[in-house]
Amino acid sequence: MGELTDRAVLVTGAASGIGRALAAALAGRGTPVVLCDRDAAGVEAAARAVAPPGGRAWALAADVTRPDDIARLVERARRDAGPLGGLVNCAGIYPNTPFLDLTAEEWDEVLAVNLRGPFLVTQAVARRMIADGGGGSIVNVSSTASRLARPGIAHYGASKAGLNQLTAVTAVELAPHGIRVNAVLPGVVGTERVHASAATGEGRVEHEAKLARIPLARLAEPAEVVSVILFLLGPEAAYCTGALFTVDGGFTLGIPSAR
Amino acid sequence: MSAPARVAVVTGAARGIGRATAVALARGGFATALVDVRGLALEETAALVREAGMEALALEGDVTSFAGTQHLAARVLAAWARVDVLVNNAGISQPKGLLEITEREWDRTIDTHVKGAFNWCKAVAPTMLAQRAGRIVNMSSVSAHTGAGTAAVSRSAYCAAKAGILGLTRGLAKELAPHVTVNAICPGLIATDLTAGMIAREGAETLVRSIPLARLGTPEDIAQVVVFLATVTPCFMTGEVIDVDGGQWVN
Repeated sequence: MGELTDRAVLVTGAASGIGRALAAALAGRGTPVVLCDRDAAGVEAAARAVAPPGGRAWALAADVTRPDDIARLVERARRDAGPLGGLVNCAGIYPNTPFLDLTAEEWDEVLAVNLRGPFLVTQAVARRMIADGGGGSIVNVSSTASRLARPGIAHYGASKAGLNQLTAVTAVELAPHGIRVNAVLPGVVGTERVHASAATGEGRVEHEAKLARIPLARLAEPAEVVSVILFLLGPEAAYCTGALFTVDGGFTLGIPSAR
Repeated sequence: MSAPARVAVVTGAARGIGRATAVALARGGFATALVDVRGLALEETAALVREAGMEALALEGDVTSFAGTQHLAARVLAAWARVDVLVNNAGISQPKGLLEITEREWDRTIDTHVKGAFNWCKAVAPTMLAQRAGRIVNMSSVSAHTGAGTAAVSRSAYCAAKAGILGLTRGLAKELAPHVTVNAICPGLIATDLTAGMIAREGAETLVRSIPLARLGTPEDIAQVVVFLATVTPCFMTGEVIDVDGGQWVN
């Protein structure tokens, strides 16, 4: 895999999970990386942890649902790290609530973080990329939940399906400015929390039932999602835009695509 | 000569996307077996692979022949004793629609794409399964989704063949899991020998208007995605269909 451009990459939701693993990979390659999360202490700790000695990683606390936070975030990122060449919209929440119990407040919160957030951040970053001369790559971290009907994810699934379409439309609108936009759809990622749950009695049964439905017979490593995002950020993906990259070990084979 | 560490087979390697893919894989450290009916042009690709510092095996042959493919695969294994990557890229355009196409032309279209991919999967899958490792990348087309049209070289028979490749990809992803991954790429409008006539006829400027990234794709654009799918380790993508079209389809 070739090198990313030397321009900075902004990663939202970078205090933990895929966002943090991605920030570590970028910092390790020498790419200036701006970590953003609404968890101020968490994102500070993550930036310290991922930056190699003398490396370039900045932590910025911001809530992606607040336009004033985002305006401040993008200006600070630009000032600290230089022109932005990449944005990865990784911030997301994924509560599981049966549809009949779902409140309007929870619905609004999920849609605000998972869909309104990427809209606002993408718009602010794209405007800044264009002001800086154009060109860039944006990756939205969606989910196979955007295509798979599972109980309890009406709000989450709808937010991620919306994110897929936001990806497609922004790909078309930002292409004249040399900005590519793609989405990655991970299946279940084997985070520490998932592994801990699978170690309990009831959790193990559920876990094994899940694995039986995945052709590759295991969960995704965070690194396997990160490698696809790095590819999409880089020059090898020069002709990819508006595309959805499912990274699920074959789990959603046979589920009708959203388009 | 010691056996190469990594071996790739690329069909339709004499020109266009196949040639670019073979060269990109060679640059990535793969000894490369090249399959095509065009023997002379195939030798040129082999020379490019060797220039990249890797061994090349030019195998002139028709992917539609089951027996011929078995024979060529045996030659690859005799030379290198392994196959890590198979790229099913061999294809033909088919500009005739339903009312013009003959039965023979239909059969040839389906056979080159679908049976050709089947023949090579059948020939190398046992080796990949025995290795407990392998990557298969099948070349489909956005035409499989869109039904092609005036701004495309081909019509319904080609669309059916390319859609057949998607079904094969998904089925094999399940059959060959978990150690062998099978994915497909759907290129958009790529500037190659195959599309040159149509591009000249329709006008590149007109065609480019339908592509958000405002340019035709290059064989290298596709080759880079093939190399990613063939080499990213570990890989959690299988049965996946990837559009590489400059945003044309969603537009």
